[in-house]
Amino acid sequence: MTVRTPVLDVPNPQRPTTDQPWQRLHPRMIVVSVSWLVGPAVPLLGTILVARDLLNSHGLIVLGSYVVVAGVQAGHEWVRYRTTRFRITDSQVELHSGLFFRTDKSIPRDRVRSADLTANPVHRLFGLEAVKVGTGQHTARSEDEELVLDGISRAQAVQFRALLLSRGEGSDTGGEAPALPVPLARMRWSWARYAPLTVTTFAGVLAVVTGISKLLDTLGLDLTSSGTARGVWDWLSAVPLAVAVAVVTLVLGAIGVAGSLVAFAEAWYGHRLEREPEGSLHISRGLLTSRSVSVAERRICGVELSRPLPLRLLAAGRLNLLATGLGGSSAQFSHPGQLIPAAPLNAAHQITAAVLNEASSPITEAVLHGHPRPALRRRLVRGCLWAPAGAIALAGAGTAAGVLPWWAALVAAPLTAVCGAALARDAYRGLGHALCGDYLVVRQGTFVRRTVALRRDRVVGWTGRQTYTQRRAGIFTLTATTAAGKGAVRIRDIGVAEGLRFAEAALPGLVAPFCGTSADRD
Amino acid sequence: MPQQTRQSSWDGVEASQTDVDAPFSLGAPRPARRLDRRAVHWWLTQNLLVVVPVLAALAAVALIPDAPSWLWPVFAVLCPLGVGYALLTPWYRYRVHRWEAGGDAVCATSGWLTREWRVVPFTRIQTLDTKRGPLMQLFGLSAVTVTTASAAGPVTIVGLDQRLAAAMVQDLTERVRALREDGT
Repeated sequence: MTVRTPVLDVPNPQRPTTDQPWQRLHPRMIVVSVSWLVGPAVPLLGTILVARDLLNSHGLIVLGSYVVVAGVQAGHEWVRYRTTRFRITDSQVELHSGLFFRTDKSIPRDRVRSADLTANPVHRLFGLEAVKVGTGQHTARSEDEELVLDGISRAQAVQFRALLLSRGEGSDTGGEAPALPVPLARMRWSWARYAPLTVTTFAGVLAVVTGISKLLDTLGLDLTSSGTARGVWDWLSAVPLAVAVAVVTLVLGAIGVAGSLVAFAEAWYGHRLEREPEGSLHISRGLLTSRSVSVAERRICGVELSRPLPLRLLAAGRLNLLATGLGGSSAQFSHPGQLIPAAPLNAAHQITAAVLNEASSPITEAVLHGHPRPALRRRLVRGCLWAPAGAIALAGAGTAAGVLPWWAALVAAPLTAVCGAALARDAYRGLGHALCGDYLVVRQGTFVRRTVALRRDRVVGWTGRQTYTQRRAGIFTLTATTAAGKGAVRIRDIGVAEGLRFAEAALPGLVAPFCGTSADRD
Repeated sequence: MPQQTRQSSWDGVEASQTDVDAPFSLGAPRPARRLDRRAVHWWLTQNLLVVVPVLAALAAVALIPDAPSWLWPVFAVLCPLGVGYALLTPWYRYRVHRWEAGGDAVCATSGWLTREWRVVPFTRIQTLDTKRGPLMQLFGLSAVTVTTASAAGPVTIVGLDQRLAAAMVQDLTERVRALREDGT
């Protein structure tokens, strides 16, 4: 039995909302939605034309089911088009859709945090956009309340976004000419040099190799029967082992670099970061799929500078925006909050300052306090005890399976321990926290070092978590919860007194009332 | 009435703050109120409902004639661990779990091996959920969850007396509505 009391959602007095007419999605959306059927249609029709006389019952069944699927899809899209209506009234955005299962969604306009426009290549071919209106409100199931209008014309979408985000800013300048957006940053092609240095490059190589082998497997092609493949294999076995390894590494590396450069160009072509006259931030980018994100200024909570290990060696980093309505589960792969690709730190700091409307970036300004020694001990235990134990287990399994020689575990353990010790020290040096003006700045991580600058007034609560070992060592993990991003900024392994003092200094009067001595409170 | 409680708890706050300010060594948050005593029985029942069937199943399997011989040592180790966990953790939890709706924030502590405290200011509260499972209803208990705009920050207080929970939700709702601010 669950009872939910929405504290803030007091039902609005019903306002007359008949003045705004209902609008429909663009009719071209039907064509866009069925366009994926073109893919299978081409080989199908091709086969039929070429081999008309060979058409047997199997072919007819395939053809028939294709026609049925196409018909059902087209009908479904037509019904969707006919039944979907939306409008923006003075108080809210409404979307009605569905024939048998009607869903009526509405979002109060003053709750709208973001309006994202996306267009995949087919959308762009037909001049359409998908608009996602987000509120950044997390329900108990930690989902965003959001509303998607998939398929309205580009002009309408831009107008729609401006209308939604301009509200409540109060910066209307009357009859003057509309002010132009202020550009804050543009992608530079020289930044492409950092693109191959991300983890995704290696992941990409792996994906390509496994994908190709899977594809060959599915198509029933045996590599050993191909003349070229055997020629390559013979040549590789003929040359010395070192040369062969070098050649294979070089080829795979080249594939990875090329792939990451292509991915970089696709994601970041035409990147523009600008501040619109009404104060909202606007990020647009993308070559094939264009992505465009607008975030109202009052929803900006801070930034996160993330520097994977290779980028740290080159003094470069990526910058993410922390804002309500961005992030969460839907942002796992699309990264709507990414402000710039991997770029030199100077540029990242400048853009941070510009985005946060500060004279200089709080990340550079902050003097970070380190964490107590037990934090180092915890990291050393992880790096020099648990990691080698895991390596020994893996090597042992390999030996048992007969893949690795018997001494593999003996080599793996000290090797992992040495790397672990170095990484643990680095991780410890990376830990830091500080208050800097209106921001709390937190740094942590080795493989990816993240520095978060979060506005103090965007912290919606504090959480402390202490495991048994942390309790013995007198440290704990302090978490500032916020509506932005993943919902939490963790300060790991901070001393108990120091952490509480920090929380109290950041938001005075919140935690201290509960921290009295136990004697007078029992 | 809420006005009065707020006033009194504010006084308490002032007092404890001046106490502590001198060396400024804050202890971990320790809210004033404990849970209902029945929460211990509820946890106990819950634990036994999990541990007893598992141990019974293990013993039953071990009793089958050609069962592997290592099942008995496993049972001998798991049995005291499981029973100890089931019987002792409720009492330990009762000592750790505390809550308080103070001057302008809600605070709750929980856990046994890993401990946790959470503080949420009234101005950031979005919804207040009361939840009662069948077992909770049996013991006349209720759980209150205070959610904010953050996906990571709900404060959950389990094992409150039903009437107390209802009164608390009503009181908090009134206080938050009085403060009324956007929850982000």
